[in-house]
Amino acid sequence: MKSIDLTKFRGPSSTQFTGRPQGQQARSELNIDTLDVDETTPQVEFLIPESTTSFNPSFYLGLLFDSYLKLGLDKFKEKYSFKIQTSDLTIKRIINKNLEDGERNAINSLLNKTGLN
Amino acid sequence: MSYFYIQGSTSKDLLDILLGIVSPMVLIILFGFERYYSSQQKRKDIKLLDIKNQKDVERTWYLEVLVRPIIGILSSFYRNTSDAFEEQVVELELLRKKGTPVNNYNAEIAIMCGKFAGEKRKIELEVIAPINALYPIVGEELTECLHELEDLYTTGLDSKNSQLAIDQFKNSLPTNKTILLRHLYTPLKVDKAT
Repeated sequence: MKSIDLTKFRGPSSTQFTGRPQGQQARSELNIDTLDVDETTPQVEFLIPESTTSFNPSFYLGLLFDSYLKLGLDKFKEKYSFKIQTSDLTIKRIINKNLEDGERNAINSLLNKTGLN
Repeated sequence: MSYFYIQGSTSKDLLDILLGIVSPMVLIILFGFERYYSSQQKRKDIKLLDIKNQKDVERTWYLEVLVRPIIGILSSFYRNTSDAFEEQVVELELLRKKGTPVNNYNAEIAIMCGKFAGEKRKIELEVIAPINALYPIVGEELTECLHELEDLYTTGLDSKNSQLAIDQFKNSLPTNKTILLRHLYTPLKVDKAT
């Protein structure tokens, strides 16, 4: 499994991941387009650093929506996952909810664009 | 008799006879054309009227069923968001002044962001989901507006300059609301082509 640390994609002196353009920038720098189709890397885990206070759906969609489009929901879930690196359970729960929001929005957009269910 | 009459006629007489026969025929043909053209035009007008009526019905339905019930919800949401943001920024400033440890301070920001996300989810459920079912493009635009608002909210909480954060947020909030409402009203626009 390949692990990707997302720390550098938080804004300068920020504790958050925000903005679709920032997510797209991260996608480009991390070559996610290549990873999507790279069969030698079957699983990728994104590491959300400790002290993160929010992982907004805008960033999530910028980072991963194109992968949803390319792979479809099932293959996407097989390939990509997140690890929240904090021991604070409250923060973990909040960031998990953020990720759920991002995933839900991605699925809604996917349905709207493809008409698939 | 007529044979002799024709035999004795001049070419001018013959032309008069011919014109006497052709003129009514031309009139009948022109009348027929005019009737055909006007009936086609009428049919086209009725079709356009049907489309216009259908669109009017659809617009009225959208306004009454989807828009009117949520206007109050959206106004409250924006008002509460503005109040909550200001309160939370002041609260965070107090925590900074008290010298709260970074981990606790960050946890507090996360909780505040989480509260906003909870309110945003209610809007997604009550406002956007019903619209998204029939008007997916509008639904997408509304969702995008909420994402932008969430970004403004969370980055504002992350700022260490309270007054600047409040000013920036309060300046951006009306624009965000206007853009959201503009997208919401898109299906109500009258198409000038019809």
